[in-house]
Amino acid sequence: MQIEETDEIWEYDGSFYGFLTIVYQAFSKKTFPEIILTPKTAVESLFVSSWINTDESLAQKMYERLTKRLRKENVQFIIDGFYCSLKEKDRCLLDAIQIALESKDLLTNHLGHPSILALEKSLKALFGEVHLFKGFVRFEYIGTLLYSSIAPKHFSLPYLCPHFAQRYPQETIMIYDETHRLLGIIKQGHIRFIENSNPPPFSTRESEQDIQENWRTFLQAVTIQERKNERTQLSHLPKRYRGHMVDFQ
Amino acid sequence: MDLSRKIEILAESAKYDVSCSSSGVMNNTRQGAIGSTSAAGICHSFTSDGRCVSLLKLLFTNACIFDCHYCINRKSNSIPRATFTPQEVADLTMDFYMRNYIEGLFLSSAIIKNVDYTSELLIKTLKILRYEKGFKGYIHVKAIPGADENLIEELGFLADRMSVNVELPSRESLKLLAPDKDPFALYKPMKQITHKKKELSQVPTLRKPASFVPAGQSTQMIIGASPESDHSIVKIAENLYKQYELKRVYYSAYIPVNKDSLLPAITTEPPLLREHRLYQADWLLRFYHFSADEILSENKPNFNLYLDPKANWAVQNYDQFPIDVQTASYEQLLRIPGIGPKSALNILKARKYYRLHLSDLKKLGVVIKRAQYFISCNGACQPGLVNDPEWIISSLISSRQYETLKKVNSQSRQEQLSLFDVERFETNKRKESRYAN
Repeated sequence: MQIEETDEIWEYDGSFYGFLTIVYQAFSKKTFPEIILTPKTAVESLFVSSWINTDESLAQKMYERLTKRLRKENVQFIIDGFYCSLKEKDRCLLDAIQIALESKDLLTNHLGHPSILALEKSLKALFGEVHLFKGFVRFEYIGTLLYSSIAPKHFSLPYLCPHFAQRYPQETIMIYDETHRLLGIIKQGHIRFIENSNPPPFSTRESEQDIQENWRTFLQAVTIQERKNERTQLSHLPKRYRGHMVDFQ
Repeated sequence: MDLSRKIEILAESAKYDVSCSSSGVMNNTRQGAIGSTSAAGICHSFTSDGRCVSLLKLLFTNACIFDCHYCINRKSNSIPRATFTPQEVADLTMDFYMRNYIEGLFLSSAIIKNVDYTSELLIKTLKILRYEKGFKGYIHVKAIPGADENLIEELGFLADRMSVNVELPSRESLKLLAPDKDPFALYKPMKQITHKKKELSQVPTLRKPASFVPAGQSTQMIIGASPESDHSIVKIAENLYKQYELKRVYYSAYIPVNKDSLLPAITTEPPLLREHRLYQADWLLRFYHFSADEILSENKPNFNLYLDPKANWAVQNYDQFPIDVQTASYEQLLRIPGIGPKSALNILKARKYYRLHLSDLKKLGVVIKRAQYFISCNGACQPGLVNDPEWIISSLISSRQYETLKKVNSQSRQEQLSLFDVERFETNKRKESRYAN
């Protein structure tokens, strides 16, 4: 498919359906814009953009088309790519979709293309953070409910919840993401999210403090003073995670 | 004695056991209602010595009947002693696990009464966790050398990983420093676990067989308590990986805990750099297709403390370089300093559709400052490259790095492998620093 690269600037509302509308526009007109803005990134831009209205039915159609035409790993790559923190992700994703339409291969094998490489790096940062949070989340019992709050850099919570849903299949769990004001609720393995939520007003109970104290005692006991190396500790466990961990309170 | 005091004493006694990984269980088929395992393992915290905390690492008891010279828990030491009950360990594990403090349990023990009794206590603890609490998470347990085969097997079905610590790399050192331990008894459970795993993997079954040590076994060697050379340690590790199919061999720089005429003085610094070099060599064995004899040899038995083993090999085999990244095979790419398994894979992927350029390599995860001396790309080398190993060595080590290495080098000069004229090298470094600012 011949695509014309133009110097246009498009803007949309930042939602996934909005992005799919952009994809529809780009491929039906066979033109790719130079920059794609959302209300968040438009603030920093000096140029005038043309607004693309989100059309849910078109987006739905586009989504079905993509799932039919592309292999499922590539569809997943594009969905994950949409949730990563890369600034130019929307423009890179258009390139990714074009490559995926032309090639039967995995998108991750096209690392030579700058857009794919940028997306891959950003995804690595996202999944890296998710993996770290699997270990650094600290729950406390509020009655029979397990509660934790986190402040991730990336949009990690939706990727994190399935892990805990599988790990504690009989519990009710709440994880609050302070950065994106997102509350994840896991009830006996079923996951739901509440957007734009305020943090639940929970306070730590007495019995929890004893267990937290035991944990800190344990950490102190397994430290080997002769090998002290706080720089290594810092590189493995950066300070931005420590505020929410009972280990450092 | 209250629980927190027991935790303090028995975690303190267990801290010299290095193993802390919670990886290796691919698909958890255990029965149970709580917990899961992650194939890649998960670190839950890091102590201020930079080591990861993944498992609740405890000794069941530190009241030992043995008198190993290097061990903090030897019976002749006057230290506070404590013993958990199986229920206490199980409850504590679950309390921490539910709050996501830990990935599972690492349970070791001193020898109390006799080896079989100790094994039975471990089995009892694991049974409470697995059957009463329905715990599906990760458990690493020690196979007590000399214990009855049936007990070892029972432990194997309850645990995810088992380990027997070799501790000292040679029979002579074992005899001298661990007189109560039988060198043959050390390897017996290792052999038994390997055979049992093989046997179970060959049984044709319709249902998945019961999990027997699904994460394999590991061991540990103490570095610097006895006079063995690095070469012999790497050789032993290679053997363990090949013969017993071990998942990991850990190395622990000896920290003097006991005053003993047979051991390094209590003021001796732990040989951390040597331990680091051994881990680098261990990675070369496991992920880089190196053999022990390529890394070190009989006539050069110790590591070069100024260069890592891979750069060391590359400099000594400089006739094989520069390697062209556009055409080299995966194995060849792995031999280039600054390129690891991941960046080698990235290079293979990227060059499939696009012609590489030297400037692309950094984006693909290659450490250019190390790799630049050993690579070319479509026939082009880095400009200004001098084809002289000695120049490369001095380029690979910055003077600051050199100073740092000199400080952490806690070994004597005779132990070092001299790859180049150290005297001349030091004089050159001094000359250079004279002109700096």
